[in-house]
Amino acid sequence: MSKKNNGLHQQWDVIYVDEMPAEPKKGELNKRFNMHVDRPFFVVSGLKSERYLDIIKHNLVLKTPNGFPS
Amino acid sequence: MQVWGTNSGWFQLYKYDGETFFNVYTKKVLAVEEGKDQEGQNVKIMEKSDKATGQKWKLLYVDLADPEPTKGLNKQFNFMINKPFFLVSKLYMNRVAECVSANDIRLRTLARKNLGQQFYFDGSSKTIKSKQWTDRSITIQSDGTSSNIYMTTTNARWFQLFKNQKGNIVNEKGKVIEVQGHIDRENQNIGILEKDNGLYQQWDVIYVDEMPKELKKGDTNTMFGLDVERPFFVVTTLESERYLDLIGNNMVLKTPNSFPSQQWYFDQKSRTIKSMRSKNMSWDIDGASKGTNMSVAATNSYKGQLFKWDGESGFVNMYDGRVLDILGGKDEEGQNVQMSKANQSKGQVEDSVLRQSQTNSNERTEQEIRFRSQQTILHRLKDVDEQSC
Repeated sequence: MSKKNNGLHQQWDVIYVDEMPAEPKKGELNKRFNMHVDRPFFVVSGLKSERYLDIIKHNLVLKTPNGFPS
Repeated sequence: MQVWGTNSGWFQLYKYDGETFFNVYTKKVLAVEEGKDQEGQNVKIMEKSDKATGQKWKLLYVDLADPEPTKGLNKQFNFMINKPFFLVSKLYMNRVAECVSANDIRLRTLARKNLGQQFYFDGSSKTIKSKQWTDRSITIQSDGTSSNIYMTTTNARWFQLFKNQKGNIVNEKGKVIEVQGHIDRENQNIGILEKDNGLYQQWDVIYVDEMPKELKKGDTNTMFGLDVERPFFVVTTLESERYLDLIGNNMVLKTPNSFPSQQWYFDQKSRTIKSMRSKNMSWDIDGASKGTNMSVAATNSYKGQLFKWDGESGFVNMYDGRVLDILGGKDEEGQNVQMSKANQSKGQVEDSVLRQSQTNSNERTEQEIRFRSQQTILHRLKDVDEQSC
């Protein structure tokens, strides 16, 4: 309990169980994040080369498309 | 930015707004560091800015992406996709790169059926793979820090990305593949260095089904200007028209005498000029190609044994440009033959001859004699063409 400051962390929705929307399933759009659930995607740079987002070790980097799952 | 074990903390929550990925709490966006559009460039999170480059992204669902082409030209790398090729050195022996023992890459004589000599551009990983070891790609050793290249498991990192660019095989960061030590020798190692565009850095990518057949007896080797295995005399254009001959292994000028020591032929396999007298010996510049005297020596195809026939300059060493010459320009029996700098341009000689005719002199100018001592006539032995080399 804290003093009210109306941050998101103090806001709640009361949703009745029978009205609780179902979690979006695989392939459905999660409107809040604007991405489809469990649908693999590439992240393509808007720079000229249109390289892809990739992983080297743990780091995110820009790389030429290479067919690897990274 | 990095990937880490999923915990759904605020720092792991990102939303896509059609243009940027931004953290749902901080509103900071995913961005290419310094906006640099280069291989392996780091990606970080930063304040959104309309002025910054590298903050925009396209979300492309895998099922909507165009499939990677499996054939045709990859324009970015300038290789035909999945089409086996030989990497042929432009050094004069035209040896090819060979993957040896799934690891080293060496310069070796072409063996068309040896899959270790065949490579292909993988349209998916964008790397050059071995036809024999298809899980391996040409790689700069030590994560790109070495001057050696080798074959290792494909990872598509920058040190495995090479373009075929105007006769060079150029790595993503600019270095080019070269014959190490610049020595055109069997089993010579192949490495990578800054580009200086010597012949040792130049390669032809020749697809296996387009590889020309090896020249046969009677064919002309245009690079060397000589017919394969077709015996010839070498005749000086000095007045005596003596022939090139051997005394011992030393090269001299001699009156025609019908001995095979005055007959020569171009050997395609070694790219050398061999003696009909001693077929295991080739023209050779003494002193490991650094001297001046000419003789014949055991065939090795090194620098001092590679000569082309140039109708204007005579016989020219492929590497140092020196020409076959008669010592002192003296038209005498047994006169020694050596290598000299080409001492006359065509224009200079024409000018010299012109001046001579203007003075109506019967004496040749010294310049002209010097030039003519380097001139030879290649007399094909038509009457012994059928003679086996």
